[in-house]
Amino acid sequence: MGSNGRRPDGMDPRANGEPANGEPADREPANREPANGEPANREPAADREERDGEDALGAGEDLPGDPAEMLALIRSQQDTVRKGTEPSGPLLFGAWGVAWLAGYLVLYVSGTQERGLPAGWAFAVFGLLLVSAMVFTGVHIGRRAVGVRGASAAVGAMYGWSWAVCFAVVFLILSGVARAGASDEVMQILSNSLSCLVVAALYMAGGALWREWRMFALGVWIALVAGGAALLGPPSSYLLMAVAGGGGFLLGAAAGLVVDRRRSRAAAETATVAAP
Amino acid sequence: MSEPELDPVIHAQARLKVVATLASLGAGDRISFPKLQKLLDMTAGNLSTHLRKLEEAEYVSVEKTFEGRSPATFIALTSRGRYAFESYTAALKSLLKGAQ
Repeated sequence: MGSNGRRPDGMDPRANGEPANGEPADREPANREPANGEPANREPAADREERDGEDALGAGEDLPGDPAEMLALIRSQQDTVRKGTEPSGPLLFGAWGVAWLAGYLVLYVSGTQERGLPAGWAFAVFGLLLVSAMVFTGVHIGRRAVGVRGASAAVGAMYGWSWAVCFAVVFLILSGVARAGASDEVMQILSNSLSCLVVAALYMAGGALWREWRMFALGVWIALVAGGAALLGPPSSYLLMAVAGGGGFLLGAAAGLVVDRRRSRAAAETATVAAP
Repeated sequence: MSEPELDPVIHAQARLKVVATLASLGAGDRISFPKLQKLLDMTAGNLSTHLRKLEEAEYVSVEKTFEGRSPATFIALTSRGRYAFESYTAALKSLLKGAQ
């Protein structure tokens, strides 16, 4: 790096009475500024670098700010990247929370009325809600993840396939148990327990993979709720699943929203410090 | 003690934003040109110019490939670029501390 005796250009130009666009008053006449019509808008740092004259830059875009401004720029860009490439926990937890709360409530209401097995339409509504949440999840993750390749995409793909494989096997196990003559009650307990066990285990694994504590905690919670539901038996188990399971998702979503808001408030504060 | 030097290659808002974006991705990840453009909210020509400068400094690697039959460009931060970004961030922080 050059040591031409000038201060590192990161210092606040306003501190010594210079205009805020970073243009020092004592600009060396020897700079090889190409005649592209915007000589007053260059950062001094690039003056000592070669000028190829081919960069058509927007006004002010290539100017350095003071250190606080540059740090704020880094933070806000990191926030933009996070929102643009990583799935939103609150959004996904919220979608599944609503699906579970409404779906299991329908099963519970129908199950208590029928004294045992919920009606076919109740299972249809439940299934439709779960499929909607699944489609929403897939579209959301796909939109955020598109355009990024490499190590994290491979991790995401393996994780996605884990869900598909596990649920395919749950289906096979349930088919086998039904063929062996399991009663309606056994099928209800087993289908819910197995599915929830897969969800819980994969949430815990996902939490470990991405160091997401809320996701891990949700996995633990879902496992406990599913265990309790198995002991309780239908139809009361569906009320437990709706309130504690769906409620757990919604609580996770709310906690995520609070953390997100606090994070963006912190970013806004650094921005205020940077540009008083 | 002398003040830390700020790397002139990334001590410019546009290129700092590009490098900060790439550094926010996981190590070993690469991003498509349109996605990068969207995250940066820059014109394609502008982004190409900055990427060329960063590539000359060996801070980023640009890979031209095919997605099916259509050409696609993927950009990644090199380990040299990641090091430069981390040094730059550390220098900014020490400048801020010195100013207080």
